[in-house]
Amino acid sequence: MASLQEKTIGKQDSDVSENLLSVKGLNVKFKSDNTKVTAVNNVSFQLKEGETVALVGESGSGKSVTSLSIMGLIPKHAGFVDGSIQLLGQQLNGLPAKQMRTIRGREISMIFQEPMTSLNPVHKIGDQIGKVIRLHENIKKEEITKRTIEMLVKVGIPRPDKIIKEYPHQLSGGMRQRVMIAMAMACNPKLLIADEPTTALDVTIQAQILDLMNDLKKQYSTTILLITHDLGVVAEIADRVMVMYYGQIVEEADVYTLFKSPKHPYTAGLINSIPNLEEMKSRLDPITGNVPNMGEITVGCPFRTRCNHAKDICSVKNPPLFKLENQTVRCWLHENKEVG
Amino acid sequence: MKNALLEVADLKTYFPVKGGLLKNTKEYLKAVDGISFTLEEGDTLGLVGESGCGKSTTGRSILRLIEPTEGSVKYRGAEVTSMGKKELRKLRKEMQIVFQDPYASLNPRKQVGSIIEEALSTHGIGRDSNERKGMVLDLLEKVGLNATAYERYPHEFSGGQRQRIGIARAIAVNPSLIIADEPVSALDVSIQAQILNLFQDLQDSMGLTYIFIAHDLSVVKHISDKIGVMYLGRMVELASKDDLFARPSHPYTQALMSAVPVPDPTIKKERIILTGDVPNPSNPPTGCTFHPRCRSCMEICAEIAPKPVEISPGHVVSCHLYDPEYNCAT
Ligand SMILES: Nc1ncnc2c1ncn2[C@@H]1O[C@H](COP(=O)(O)OP(=O)(O)O)[C@@H](O)[C@H]1O
Ligand SMILES: Nc1ncnc2c1ncn2[C@@H]1O[C@H](COP(=O)(O)OP(=O)(O)O)[C@@H](O)[C@H]1O
Ligand SMILES: [Mg+2]
Ligand SMILES: [Mg+2]
Repeated sequence: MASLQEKTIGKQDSDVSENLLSVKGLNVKFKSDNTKVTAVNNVSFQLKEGETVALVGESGSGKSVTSLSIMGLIPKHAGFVDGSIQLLGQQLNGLPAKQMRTIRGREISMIFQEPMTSLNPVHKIGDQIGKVIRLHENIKKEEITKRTIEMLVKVGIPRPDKIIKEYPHQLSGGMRQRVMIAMAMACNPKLLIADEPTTALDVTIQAQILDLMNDLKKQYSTTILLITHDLGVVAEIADRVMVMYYGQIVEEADVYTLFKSPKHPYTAGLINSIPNLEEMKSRLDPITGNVPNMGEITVGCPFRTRCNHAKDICSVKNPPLFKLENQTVRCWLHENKEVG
Repeated sequence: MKNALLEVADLKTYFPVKGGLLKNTKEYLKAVDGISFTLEEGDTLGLVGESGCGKSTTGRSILRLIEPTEGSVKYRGAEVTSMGKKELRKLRKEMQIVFQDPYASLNPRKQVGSIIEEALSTHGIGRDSNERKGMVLDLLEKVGLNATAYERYPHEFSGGQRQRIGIARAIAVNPSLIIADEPVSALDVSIQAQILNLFQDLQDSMGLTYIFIAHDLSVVKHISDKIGVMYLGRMVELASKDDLFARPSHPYTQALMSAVPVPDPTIKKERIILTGDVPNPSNPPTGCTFHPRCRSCMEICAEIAPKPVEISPGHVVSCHLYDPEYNCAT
């Protein structure tokens, strides 16, 4: 695990407040019949080294498309990715495919809800993890096997020397998710993007995986972008939260502020919608209506159709992000409360 | 005291497994392995547990959509397991089911209006199609759908709206009991909350009794009066909601509760991390099937399956820790 340690030590020297990832004005459009549908609309955010940031929102809000754009995985023929995506100052958007491949897996890794999207059913576990290491590092075969087994131990896989000879289908869902994490962490990436990593798992297995992610975070100080729709998971491991609705970031705050005083009516609505094991509500107070389809709303605030606080201006003009003391919020209610 | 609407005693549903170790002996997957509970009229029983623990099979066996292997199901005192076709048809009017994915159970070629109308005519409700149309429009309103839904097709609706259609069809025949199998699991949280409220409203206005199946303990806690926690085909703990949360007693219940992430970053709970996966139900561990993952495991637990013990009125736990015969610690 020599190279892992070197990298970790290297990290401690660097400026902790530095932005690892900086996304500015990200727009993603997809072709649909004769028109283009906007899936991600002017999204900007920064990730600092070592922090865990959650991107939360209901299905279709643009979370996965945002993360796939960072990875350079939106197929060119299907979508248009516009804007700046910088990793430690290096522009990723528009990078040739070949160069992007050297970044994926080494600098940025991604894990998915369904491990089988990144595991190949016909190859042995050991070969698949080994391939990632071989692609990025010039080391000997025995060394690769040793590293693979070390990685499997790190993610809590029992009998790793046996598991490397097995195929993905021989493992349970939770074990497959661990293997995918081992594969993603094999080259100690600076950024780990986890897209709904526990959504398909049972809750006791989810607890194991969240525990593992917390461990890895401490051990490697990896920056994590966690995509989830589950506010419980957010509260559990995020330092900072960005809430997405209809392709936009509508609120951003540290995790304590977000849960204590959500400012966007959508964020507040989400929090009120969920039953909470620790408090008894006799009735939930949900957001009314349905999530609009992309392209359905073209002017004004896209949330206004479900918002109890909508004013005249909301149907005319989409609000910008207003900067409050501890958070930013895209809502006209907070227009006059902006600081500095 | 409320009347018992449903009494389930030692219900077992086994599925034959192909290719058993010994060719001559038949092997079984014990999907449901001795479940008992009583459900009072107007109450909600929540069934919770991880995937594969037998929640759906329990629900379907009660309705006899799957034939149970053994045990008794009494609906208003009448034995369901021995009912003939005619009686079963009548029973189906009394007990309805709502699925996780209503889309799979809605005919895509039929308009929503005729889907619901069919449920009425099957059970001879309404004099003619005119009267039935009026009833369907009432039902649509009851479940929060626009009257225009009548002439639209299932694919034109979102997941939450389809669930409303599934609910409208279930309540159309004016049943007493609804078995809802993960009805909100596939929905976004804001929509999930709307549907949970709809279930509560309908219970209040129609006096419905529910068996509410979900893997999400927060949801089950929200909606239920009584909760049964299942593990590998058995009910390891059964109690009123208040008792279960005041005194979770089975080590599995405790682990399950501690594993649920709470949407409040100021709460840091002590987490019981269970090791390993849920074992393969076709080859379950000996004795108490939870023993390999249990942090309180005793010698006896690998040998003998625990019997249910009533630790306080209505609070039943199947664990040797509470069995005076075996637990030397107490
Ligand atoms: N390859 C694609 N082609 C066309 N539309 C797409 C494609 N991928 C995603 N979309 C659309 O982009 C929107 C955002 O999707 P996504 O980012 O997957 O949402 P989330 O992850 O928040 O559930 C959705 O409306 C989705 O249908
Ligand atoms: N028709 C069937 N034939 C054989 N096995 C089945 C059948 N239905 C369910 N099972 C098995 O029975 C067990 C319980 O399943 P199920 O009741 O669907 O669990 P749950 O609803 O709690 O997820 C599982 O191991 C499942 O694979
Ligand atoms: Mg997604
Ligand atoms: Mg089920």
